[in-house]
Formats: sequence, C-alpha cells, structure tokens
Amino acid sequence: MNPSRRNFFWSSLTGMASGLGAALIGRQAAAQEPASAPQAPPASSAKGYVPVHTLNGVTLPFVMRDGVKEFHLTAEEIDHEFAPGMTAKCWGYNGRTPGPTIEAVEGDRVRILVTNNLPEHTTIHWHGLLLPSGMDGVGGLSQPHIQPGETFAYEFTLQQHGTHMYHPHADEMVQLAVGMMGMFVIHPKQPEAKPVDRDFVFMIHNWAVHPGTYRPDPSVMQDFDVWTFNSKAFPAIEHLAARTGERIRIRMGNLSMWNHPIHLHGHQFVVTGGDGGRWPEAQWRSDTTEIVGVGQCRAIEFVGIAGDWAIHCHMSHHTMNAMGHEIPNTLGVDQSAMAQKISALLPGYMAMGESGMAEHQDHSGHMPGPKNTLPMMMGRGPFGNLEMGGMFTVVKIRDDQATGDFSDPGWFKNPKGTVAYRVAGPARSKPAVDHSTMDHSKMDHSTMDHSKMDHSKMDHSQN
Amino acid sequence: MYAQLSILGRSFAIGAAVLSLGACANVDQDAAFGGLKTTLGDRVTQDLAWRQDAASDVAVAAKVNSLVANELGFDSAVQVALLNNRALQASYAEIGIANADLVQAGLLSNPVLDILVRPTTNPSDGSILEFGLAQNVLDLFMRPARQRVAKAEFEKTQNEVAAAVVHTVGEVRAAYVNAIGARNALAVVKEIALASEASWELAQRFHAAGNISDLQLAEEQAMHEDMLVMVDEASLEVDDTVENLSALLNVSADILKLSDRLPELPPNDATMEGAETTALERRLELMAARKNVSAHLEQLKLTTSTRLWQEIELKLDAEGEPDGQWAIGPGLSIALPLFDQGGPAVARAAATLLKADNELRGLESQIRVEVRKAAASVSASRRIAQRYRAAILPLKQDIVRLKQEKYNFMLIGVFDVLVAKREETAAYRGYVEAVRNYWLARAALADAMGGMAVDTTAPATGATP
Repeated sequence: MNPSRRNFFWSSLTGMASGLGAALIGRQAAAQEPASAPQAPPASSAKGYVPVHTLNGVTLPFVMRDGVKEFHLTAEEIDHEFAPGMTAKCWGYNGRTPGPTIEAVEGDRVRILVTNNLPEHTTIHWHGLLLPSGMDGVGGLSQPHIQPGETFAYEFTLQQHGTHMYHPHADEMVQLAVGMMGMFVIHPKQPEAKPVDRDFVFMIHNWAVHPGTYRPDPSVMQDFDVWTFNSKAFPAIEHLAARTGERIRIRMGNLSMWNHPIHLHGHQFVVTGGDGGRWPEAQWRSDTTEIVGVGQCRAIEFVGIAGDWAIHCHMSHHTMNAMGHEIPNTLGVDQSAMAQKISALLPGYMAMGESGMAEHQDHSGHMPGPKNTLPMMMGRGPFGNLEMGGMFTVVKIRDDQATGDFSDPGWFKNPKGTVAYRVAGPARSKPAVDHSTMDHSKMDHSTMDHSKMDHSKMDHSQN
Repeated sequence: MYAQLSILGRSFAIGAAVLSLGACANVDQDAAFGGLKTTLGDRVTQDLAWRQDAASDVAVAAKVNSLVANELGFDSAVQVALLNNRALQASYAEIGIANADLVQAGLLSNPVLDILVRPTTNPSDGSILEFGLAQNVLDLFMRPARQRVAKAEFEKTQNEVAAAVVHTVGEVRAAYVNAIGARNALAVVKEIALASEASWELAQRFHAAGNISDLQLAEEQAMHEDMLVMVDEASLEVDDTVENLSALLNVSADILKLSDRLPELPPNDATMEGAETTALERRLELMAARKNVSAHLEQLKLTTSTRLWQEIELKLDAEGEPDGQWAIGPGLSIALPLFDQGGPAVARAAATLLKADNELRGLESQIRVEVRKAAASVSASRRIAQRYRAAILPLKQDIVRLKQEKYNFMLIGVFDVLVAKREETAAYRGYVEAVRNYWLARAALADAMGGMAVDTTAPATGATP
C-alpha cells in the first residue's frame, strides 16, 4: 500500500470513528452539564413543582430531544468518601453513589441511556414504576444484560407520581452492596393541593467496608460497618436546613439489608406517601418514627419548628460507625490495677470502657485506629460530643433561613431559659483511668481527630 | 691369647655402645606435652596445662577460679575446660604413656651375665670360675625398626589427644550455646507467661463484674496454666544444659555466671569452597589414623624381618682354671625356626594393617559427610534466623500494633491483643531457637573442619535483638 493511499485509508477510518465518538460524547457531555445549565431542572415556579434536594447529592440533568426528556447514566467504579478519613472503591453512576436523583413529572416521556463502564454486565430496574414489561430492567427476564462497554436506552412514559428508586437487577446482591442505586422522583402533573416548601430526598444504605479495607464486601448479610444516608456517614451527612413554619417533606428510599425506623425529634410528622405516590390526605397518619422497610420508600411531612432536631435511625447500632460486635464487655470492669502491667506488654495500651463507651470518642482523637476507619463515635456540638455515627443528622430550622437556601445556618441559639440546666452537683469523678502509662509520642494527632470536626463548616457540596 | 683379648676388647666396645644407648633412657614428659601444642597449631588458641602434680593443680585452680569469677564467655568457657576437664587430663596422660613407650622402644634388652663357680673333683685344686655375658643381638639390629613403630604409635597418640582437645572445645562450645540458648528461651517463655497472666487476671476482673462466663474464665485460666507448664519445662532445660556445661568445665553449676542472651549472628559465614579438602588436611583423627597405618606398616616390616630369627644371642664366655689360666671364647645361641616360622605373626600384622587402612578410608568419607552436613546446617539455620529477624518478628510486631489499633477503636477486645502479644513472643522464642541452632551448627562445622581457625568470628556474648 503506498503512503498516500494508506493515509487516505486511515484518515477515513479515524474520521468515521471521531464522527461516531462525537455523537456519543456530545450527547453525554450535554447530559452531564451541571444543574445550573439552561437545560437543567428549573426552579420551582417555572415548572410548578419544588425540585427535590438530595442530601450530599445532585439531580440528574436531562436534554429535551423530540419531546422526550433524555437522561444519561454511566455505571462505573468510583472512589467514594463516606466521611473525611474514609474512602472506598465503590460502584455508582456518573461518578457518585447513590447516582444522581432522576426528577421528572407525571406524563413525561423519558429516555434513559445507560452506559456500562463496569467490569461486568448490569441493567437498571426502575423500582416501583409502571412501564412496559421490557423496560423493567430484570436482566435475563425483561431484557438482555448490558455488557461492559454497551449503552442501552430505556424509554417509557411516566404514568404515576411518587418517590421511587432505581438499581441494577443483574448480579444485584453484589451491585447493591457496592453502591449502585439512586432515587427517582416523579412530581404530580397537577400541583399538589397542599404544596411543600422544601422537598428533601435521601437513600438509606448499609456497607461492609471492614476496618482497614477499601472495598465494600458483598458477602456480609447483617453485621455492616457503615450505615449511611445517601452513602454518607455521620458526621459527613448534610444537615437539613429549613425555615420555621415551612412545610417540609423528607423522602426516603431503603435499599439496605435492614428495615430502618427513622425518628425525627421535636415534631409530629405525617406519613404522606411512598412508592405509591402521595396518599389521599385521609390516609396520612401522624407519627414520630417511621419504619422504612427494605425496598420501600416513605415520605414524611411536617411544619418546621425552630431548633436543632436530630433525625436518625432508631436502631442504636445504626448510629455508630464501625465497632466490634464480639468484644468483651468492659462495663463495670475495674481494670485500673492492671493498666501498668498490660502497658508494660503493650506500650500505648489504655484500659477502656469501665464506666461506659462515651470516653471512646475522646480516646479516638488521640489513639491511632485502623486505616480508613471512622471512629465508632464522632461529632461535636455546641455542648460537647455527640457520640454518634452512621445514620444520624440534624434538621436545622431557623426563623431566618431564606427560601431555597440549603446552607448550614450553624448551631441553634436557644432562647434564654430553654436549655436543660443543672440543679445539683458537682459532678462525681469517673473511675480513675490511668493515662500516665500511655505513650503519647506514638499517637498520630494529625489524621485521627475526626471527633472534634466541626461539621457545621463542612462543605457538603463536594462529594 | 691375642685373639682372645681382641674378642674381649670388641665385647667391651659393644658394652660401651650399649651403655651409650642406655644414656637416652631419660623420659621427658614436658617435651612430649609441648609437642601436643605444636600438633594443635592454630586449631586451639587457648592455653593447655597438664596437671602432673599438686603444685600444678593449685596453679590451675587459681586460674580457673579467676576465669569463672566473671560472666563466662565463649573463649573463657573453652579455656576453663582445657585446664580443668578431667577427661582431657586423662588423655594428656596418654601422651605420657606413649612417650614412655617410645623411649622404651629405644632401649636394648639388658645383657645377661652368668657366673658359675664349679668345684674341681679335688677340692684342694680350688674351683673353676665361669663367666658368661650374653646379649640379644637381634634386639640390637631391630632397634631402629622398633623405634619407627613406637614413633608412629607416639605420633598417632599425640594426634588422637590433639583431636580430643579439639572435640572438647567443640563440645564446650555446643554446651555453652545450649545453656545460653536455654536461658534465653526461659526469659522469653516467662514473658509469654506474663501476657497470659495479664489475660488471666483481667479475665477474673471481667468475671467478678459479671461480664464473662465461667466457661470463658476457665479457658483463660487453662491457657495461663499451660504457659506455666511451659515455664517449668524451659526452666528444666536450663538446669539440664547448665549441668552439661558444668560437667565439661568441671566447675559447679552453682557458681557459673552465664548470660541469658545468645550472641547475634555474624554478618556472614566463611565460604565453604574447598572445605572438604581443608578438613581432610586438618582433621587430627585423620592424621592419627594415618600414623596408625604407618605404625602397622612398620610393625608388619618388623614382624616380617624377624619371622624366622626371633632370638639370636651373642655370648662371651670366660673360664678361669684353678691354676689361674683363663680361657675366653665367644658363643652364639639361636632359636631355630623349626616349629614357629612366624607365619601367623606376619598374617596378624598384615590383617591389622588392612584394618587400619580401612579405618583411615572410612574416616575420610565420614569427615566429608560431617563437613557437608555441618555446612548445610549453618546456612539453613542462618536463613531461618534471618527470616525470623527480617520478616516474622517485624510482622508479629505489626500484628500486635494493628490489633492494638483495632482495640483502640473498640473493634476487638484486649484479650485478642494479648493473644497477639503472646504469639509475637512465641515467635521470638522461635527466633532464639534458630539463633541457637545456628551457633550449634557453627560449633559442629568448626569441629568437622578440625577446629578451624575459620571460627575467628567466634562470638563475644552479646544481645540478641
């Protein structure tokens, strides 16, 4: 082949390739533009609905193509941070877990392109949606699997409204365990009779990232290490900011392995719906804890009362970070006389837990733990340690929080005389723990000081 | 008459010669023992002493006492044994025996003087006097051959004793390594028991607080009791090995001052290239065996040359008549080889030579095997000790540290950390054993190489890490 012909041959080939590539890449690039781009979901007034606010997350942009809202999800391996000091190789969509929230309106025609950049095949099941059987996403049943490198399109008309989810239905156990999931919110075509002012959404999940490891272990069924709202563990979970008197909705979807009784402090909320959409008002029921079962979605609504209000799973181990479940119970065990003896064998050893585990939060600040592991208890508030982890965050309601402002307003300033106060004392000293035997020189203060982290200053927009 | 006188004169000449030979009969044992030192050469650098009397006993005792007053080192242990070990003293005496035999071999059998007074038939005539002087001349002719045999025997003995010295050094080194190693292991085992004791005491506290069951408590106690048995066993091993050392040094175990840390491995070992050849050149038993062959060869020659003529006597007879006349004349007496022509004696000597020769060859191949085995043992035990040092011990330390990190984050309990600590210490015990095996192999190699000056890296006692 002479040089000129070969050049011609190659240039035509590369031309073809770049043409194809441009088509694909262009489409993808448009789909991935940030929320502020012109085609991104608009503010509430323009569309007749209040867009949802995904905790520590984003809403997936779309492009209108021939009257169809076209979304693009790319399944891929990602580095995910559960909280500062802990990351893992997870799988997710468009660089995050959970994937971006898909938000649309009842009656919309949607086309969702799914590109598989995973090492194995996948599919997406649109959990709770009414759609043609062939769009339901069960690999092998509804459709052929999406092989690595392939892009599939799902296309259907939204016939309902409500809080829904999406997740793989191919090697589902593994793919869920490593973070592949997302929320799918469909607003009603007609404006809601009792509109909400703020609409939060998050996914509940659990992870087996064993202490010192960097990848979720799909084989675990019950003893998980990390309990998350939207794949973040306390204290990295975004706070829910709102204004006093606003009607606030919180939508939750659960793709974990446990049912989670989610409890909100300081309010009586009403449970107003789930996968089945917003229920008729007559079916709403008043409560303060709502169990979100595995595979279920729930929406609760309430009118904000000023204050800092905890919202958390009420399974108390689910508001802890990694901890041992087979450890000997140290409660009430006087180890003081042994401290010296054991320190001689184990320099840096400290007897713990005689009077309870709360001291652990302080110790974890200066005693080194396994790599990539969050201390069991973390978080510091205006009055001291929160001693929490996992599925815990704070609803912060302020009289002066601006409409549409989700930024953290800082700690609540309690009106005079409204904080619990001491009427007797002074405090008894706790059983003596001998700190003198500890070798402080070996402690790494630089990396493990999460307990003192002021999460009010955390930038939640980063993920 | 002239002839008679000349015979008399010759006889005197022979007598003078015989007397002059007799002048060599002085037995110099100190010189013979000095030869032992020469034979040993660079194989043993410490002093030797042959305690032949009370005065030397006192002198040696003073030296031994000053040596054992301090912590015993590798060299001082060897020195004490060389001065004090009774088996060595016994083998030094072998040199004295062989030396005496050697001198003996140079001596001629004494001439025999017969005197006979015979009365005449008529008493008034007086008596007839008869003098007879007989000398075994065969003895005289065979003297050089006999001396060659005795010299070979003496050299054989000297080499054997020198080999015994070298082997005693090897035994002392091994016993020393075993004793220090056992003491080191005991120290480590006691540390393991400390961890199990801490665990057991903690368990009692957990139990008292109502937090662990009788079962868990019993398990902790059983674990600790097992460790205490290990301490007892290690302690017995110390007693055993120190007694063995004490026996070699001939010093009471109670007064021995011993380190409880094995010396570290030297950075490298001597090359083993040509080691077998070197060993064949240096092993003193081999020299002894070669001398044994020479001795038996000489013996065979001697036996062969005297097979027929076992006794030849020259005689000088003088007879004094009553009238004062002397008649002097020579005589000869020979044992005639009619019945014993020396055949069995020659056959015996030949078979003995054959035996000695085969023992020599057997010893050669045995020495090659000893060297190869000891060299393999040195390099294998070095590799094992180094693996402990470079990998296993740091890993076990890491495991303790990482478990402690898990403990800090309430992921495991303190009992698990103490188990890891126990395992770390147990690995250290493995290391101590490997280091001990290394030094044992070194002692065995030095021994197999004939007390090689290879072992200039002989350790000063020092700390294992």
